[in-house]
Amino acid sequence: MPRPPQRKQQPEATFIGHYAGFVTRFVAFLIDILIVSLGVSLMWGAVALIFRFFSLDLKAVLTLIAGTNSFLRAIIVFITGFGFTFVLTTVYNVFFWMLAGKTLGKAVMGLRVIGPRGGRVTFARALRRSVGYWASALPLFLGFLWVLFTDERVGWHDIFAGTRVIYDYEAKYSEAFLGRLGRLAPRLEKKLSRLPQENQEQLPNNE
Amino acid sequence: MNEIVPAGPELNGSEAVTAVPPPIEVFIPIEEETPDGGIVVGESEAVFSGETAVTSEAEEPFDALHSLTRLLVGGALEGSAELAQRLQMWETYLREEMAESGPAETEAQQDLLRYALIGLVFSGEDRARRGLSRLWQVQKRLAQTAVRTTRPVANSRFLNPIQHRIDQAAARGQAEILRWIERGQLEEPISRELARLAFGETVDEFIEHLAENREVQELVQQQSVGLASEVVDQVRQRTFTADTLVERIARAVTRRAPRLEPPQADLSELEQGPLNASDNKK
Repeated sequence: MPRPPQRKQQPEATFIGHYAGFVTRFVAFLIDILIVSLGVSLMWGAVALIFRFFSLDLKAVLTLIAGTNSFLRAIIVFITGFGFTFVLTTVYNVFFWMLAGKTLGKAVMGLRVIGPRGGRVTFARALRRSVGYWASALPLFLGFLWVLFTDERVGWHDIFAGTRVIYDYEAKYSEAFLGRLGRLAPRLEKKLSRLPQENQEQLPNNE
Repeated sequence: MNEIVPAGPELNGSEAVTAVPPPIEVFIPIEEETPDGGIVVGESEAVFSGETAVTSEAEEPFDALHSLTRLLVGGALEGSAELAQRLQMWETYLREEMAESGPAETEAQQDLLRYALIGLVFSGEDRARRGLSRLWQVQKRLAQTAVRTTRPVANSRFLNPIQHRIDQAAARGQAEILRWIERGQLEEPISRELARLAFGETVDEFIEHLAENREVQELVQQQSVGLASEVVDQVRQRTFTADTLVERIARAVTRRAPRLEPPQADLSELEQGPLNASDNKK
């Protein structure tokens, strides 16, 4: 009796070392923002404590610098606040990118920042990338959304620093999530459910 | 679960037992016939009078057996109360569940036989309960008939000397039962409290032991780490899927062909060793 042809069982496709997409990077970014915000709050708390320790009045100091001009005072407060955030963000990003190629948020989401051809992120690149964040955020975060429209999934800050972000773990599709999305939007179901099979067919040697 | 009250002096039997009950006096009901033929029910003089058996236990030394009895009684009372409460709760829940899901479908002969046997057990219980109730009614009627029949003989003058002794014996028995009741009233709260306290302290000590046990700590830590990594894995998988989905939408908006896979990065100069593939393998 002829045996039916057996379908060759393919290993489950994983995407380690592939460029990371927008959503994962966005979630990692949110985690980093939370951490930096916490750091900024702590820094402000420390400053307030120091002022209190030396019996200094913040308003009096502001008046000493800016006089009674309220606009100038607002500008000084904004610049100080922004400066704190900028410095802390830069230190945080540069330190972690140079040290491990990933910030805490990126580590949680399994991402890694790499230099050209997978090289290490140098200080100059890390600094450029961190400054590039602000440039990407300025025009309504268009620089971040750029990830969605480029082949290599790069944002403006990546282009500016010559860096890329890749999956640092065995990324694979969540079929349960696909199914749930499909139930919410039945028209998408067909397209979405094809994704894992299509990828498996395309990547038979991907381990 | 009832609130556990911290140990107080009442558990040593001082406060709870300080209110010594008054001495018991037992009176025998007397039925007297009135001239117009009616019956008046009165009470005789006290035929039995004495101190209660429950004396102040503050004077008693610690008795291990006594405490153990209290603990057992309290445990049984508290346990049965708790069990009854839980059973009621579960039964209500199950009834609601059954009402929603409807009766189970019968498929095979074996199922029918099993249902029949289960039904027999419950019918038997109902019948036994009804039978006992009927038996109690019959016994009550028999007792009433017997009392009515023997009343002329019992009230006759010939039996007066014996009657007095019978009354005294009955009074002694009644007093004994009253003493039991009083003792029970006194012992029940102490026993319950003792059981609650013993249970509470045992649980506390057990938890303390668990908290201090290094092996348990390691186990909990491992479980927590395992759970956290599982959550992170799930989130990663979902965001990865969402990456592809969102990119597909973006590419559709810009009228570009959908991509089947995220593009592979050029890692020819990777310095920091292999990527974390081995770390994430399950």
